[in-house]
Amino acid sequence: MPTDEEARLFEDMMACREVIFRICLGFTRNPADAEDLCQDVYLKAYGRLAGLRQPSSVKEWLYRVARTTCLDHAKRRRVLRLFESSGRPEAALDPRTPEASALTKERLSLLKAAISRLPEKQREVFILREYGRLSYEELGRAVGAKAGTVMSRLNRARAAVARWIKEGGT
Amino acid sequence: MKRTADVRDLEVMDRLIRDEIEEALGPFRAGDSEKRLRGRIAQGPEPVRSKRFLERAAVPALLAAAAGAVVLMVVTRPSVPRPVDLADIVEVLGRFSTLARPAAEPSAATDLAAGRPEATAGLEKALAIAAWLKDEDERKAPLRESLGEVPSYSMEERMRILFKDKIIERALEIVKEKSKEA
Repeated sequence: MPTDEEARLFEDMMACREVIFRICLGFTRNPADAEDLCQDVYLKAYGRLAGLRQPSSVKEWLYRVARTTCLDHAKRRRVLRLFESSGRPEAALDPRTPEASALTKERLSLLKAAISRLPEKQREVFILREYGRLSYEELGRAVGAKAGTVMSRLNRARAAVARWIKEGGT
Repeated sequence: MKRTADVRDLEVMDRLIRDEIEEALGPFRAGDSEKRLRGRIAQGPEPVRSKRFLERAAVPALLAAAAGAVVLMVVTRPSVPRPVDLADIVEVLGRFSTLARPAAEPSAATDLAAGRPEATAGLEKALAIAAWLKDEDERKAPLRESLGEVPSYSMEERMRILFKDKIIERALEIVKEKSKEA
């Protein structure tokens, strides 16, 4: 039976569901997997809520749980991805015209490929910032680095991804 | 290699990400994921800690089991072959007083009385034990030599070596005399 304090902290965590879902989406690149992973993050966080040392920073702690859970998931998926034939960001298709849909699909494939090609530290910073919309301070605390370091990593990652999309994956 | 990107390229990237997120968030908001999550939590938290404990304990347990197996193999392995049992040693030591006497003493007569085969068997056992003891010392010697030092024996060890040499010498003398008599 959770205490009142734990129940309050859990409600604070639930207010971040969309942020956590977006982070999971950035790592998994698939909405269904992101939703499952989001649930895993919350179940893991809830199970460890009693051990939280600083209740005031529950959101940042939740971001760290989400990061580690997503990285663990990515490690498990790494072998399986070798056997997947193509990307799966089909859920974000533009339904207006077939031409636009095809173009969006192609660009999303490029986006996925560009993100997957990033070094791990740049990739996690890129996803946490671009998908989770974390501030630089939150980002630094989530990955355990200074704000200047994460800004540098983020700039390099953004430039690499944008260039990859522009050049069509060449 | 160019490490920066044009503003327009960055805008294209940002738009792609934004579209992807918006498309995915629609079903997420409309779905019942929050209800399902609260339902799962109401059932009780998953045993995260016990699982983690098992994961942590698995590797040390495997290492401990492997180390234990190695120790058991070393301990249960027969260290030195024992060609002669204790009864033989006692018997030979009992006969030593006879062997230590000069050949001209009544032992020869005793041997003749007892019959030659029995005396020959005793001699053979004495020789076998002496040879085994010598082999044992030779096995120990290379270990000492490998240390690069001259082996230093205590007085007791020296006496043991001399004692064995005397047994062999005396046994050979008896054999020689017996063969002459034959």
